[in-house]
Amino acid sequence: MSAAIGLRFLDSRASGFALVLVLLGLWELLSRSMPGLEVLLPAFSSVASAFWAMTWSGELALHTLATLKKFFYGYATGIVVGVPLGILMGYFRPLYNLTEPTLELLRPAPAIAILPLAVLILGLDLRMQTFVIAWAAFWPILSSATDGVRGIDPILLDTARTYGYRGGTLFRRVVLPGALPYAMSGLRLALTFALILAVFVEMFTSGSGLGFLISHYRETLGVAEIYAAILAVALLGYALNEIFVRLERRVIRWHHVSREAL
Amino acid sequence: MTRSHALGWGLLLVLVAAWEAVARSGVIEPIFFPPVSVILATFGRLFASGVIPDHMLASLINMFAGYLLAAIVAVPFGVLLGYNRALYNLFEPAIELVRPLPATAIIPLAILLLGIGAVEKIFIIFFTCSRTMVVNAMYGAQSVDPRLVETARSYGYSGFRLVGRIVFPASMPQIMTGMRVSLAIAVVIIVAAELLGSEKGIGHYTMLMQRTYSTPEMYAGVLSLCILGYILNRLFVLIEGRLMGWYAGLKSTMR
Repeated sequence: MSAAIGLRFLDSRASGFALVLVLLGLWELLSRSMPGLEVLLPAFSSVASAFWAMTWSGELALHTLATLKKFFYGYATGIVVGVPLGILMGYFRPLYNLTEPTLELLRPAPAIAILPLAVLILGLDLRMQTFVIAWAAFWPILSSATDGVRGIDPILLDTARTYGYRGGTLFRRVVLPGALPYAMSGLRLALTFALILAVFVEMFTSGSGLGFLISHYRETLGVAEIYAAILAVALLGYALNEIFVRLERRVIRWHHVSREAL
Repeated sequence: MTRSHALGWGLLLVLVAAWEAVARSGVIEPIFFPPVSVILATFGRLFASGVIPDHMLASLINMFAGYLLAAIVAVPFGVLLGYNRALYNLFEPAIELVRPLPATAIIPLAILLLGIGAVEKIFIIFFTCSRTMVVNAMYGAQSVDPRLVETARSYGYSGFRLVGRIVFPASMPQIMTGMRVSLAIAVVIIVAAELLGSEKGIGHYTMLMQRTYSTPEMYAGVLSLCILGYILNRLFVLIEGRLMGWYAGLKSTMR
């Protein structure tokens, strides 16, 4: 009987949430039982109360908004530049051949390599931050948009042409929808990179944002506040991912439908 | 090489020549844009004298230590989670909690806990990569054709032999995706970690040169990072081709 209950417990999602609670409990216990550890690993309850206090003082909201602003500027710039360029490169073979060798040299470079250069030329302001984040987002977007267009079944394109689709219509009705599912994977990867860089440039340069908050509390040794700020970054990352997944589902729902129909 | 490729390389040459011409004309401060020839000469000098290889090696050792450690732990763990429903239920919420955290957020904490050094860097890379690796291995194992597993079972495969011989190889395409994305992120994160605190490493060196306005050296550092990314990318494709050769063959026979 008890074995059956145990099995049912393991079969349900409850076990996972129980594990999270157990881990948090262990954290609390460990921190409280070992004096001196509090300095490096404050009890979970201290972190939670720091998070609570920072929420009510408006500190977290203020800095979350600052991070969001940088992220949004950079990510949007990456999309606005990367998607059209990628689609054009995928669609027009000569343009692809012309730009590919140059891009092939730049593409594998870690996005962060541009930072010293950006600081040198643009300084430490929002322009530089936007540029670095946009640069990081640009590459995965460009690649996936290009590959998305190039991956469209040539038979599909020819069929559409036979039915009289040309130019803008062909583009809107066949090329764009055909490239979208693949392009979404690039947009998702770009989101990860943009967020990584947004938090980083804040630690590195700015006076605002969650990244700044983390490095600020490291300097002032507000350890519980560091953990609380990291928690806030995690929540932001979670929220942005969730929004993206929902949008993605909307945008490419027909894709699953059409595949099932096939 | 076709004519079309030649055109692309031509454009690259034109761009480089234009850079050189603009830099030499003195329109832009040389502190921002030194001529390409100066950058290349500086790179050559720093490479021959061992400065750049030294820093590069320091970055690479830390990065690969963390990356390989993550692969050894995270990939088998992920496959197990994808194969066994109970384990999945047990660990999935905890993984979901740490998964969306942008890796850069933990760098200051790692510095505080572990001090600046190799252990801190390896830990940061491990944390960064293991999440992506676990999740991809998990999805890979979950999407293995159930008929394959059933067939293997009827041939007497079970337990670790079933997971190791059947589920793991069948999950390889998705595992490799995770390995590839992790590698790309790991390069970014090792440089980020070096910028926030380090005495060695190519990211540290490049930023130091920027701060001291040694612009040609800084550009040489950026160039080294580009080359590093390029080589890692090629190396990965090569290894992937080796490991996944059977898969490409399988796919072509299935068509």
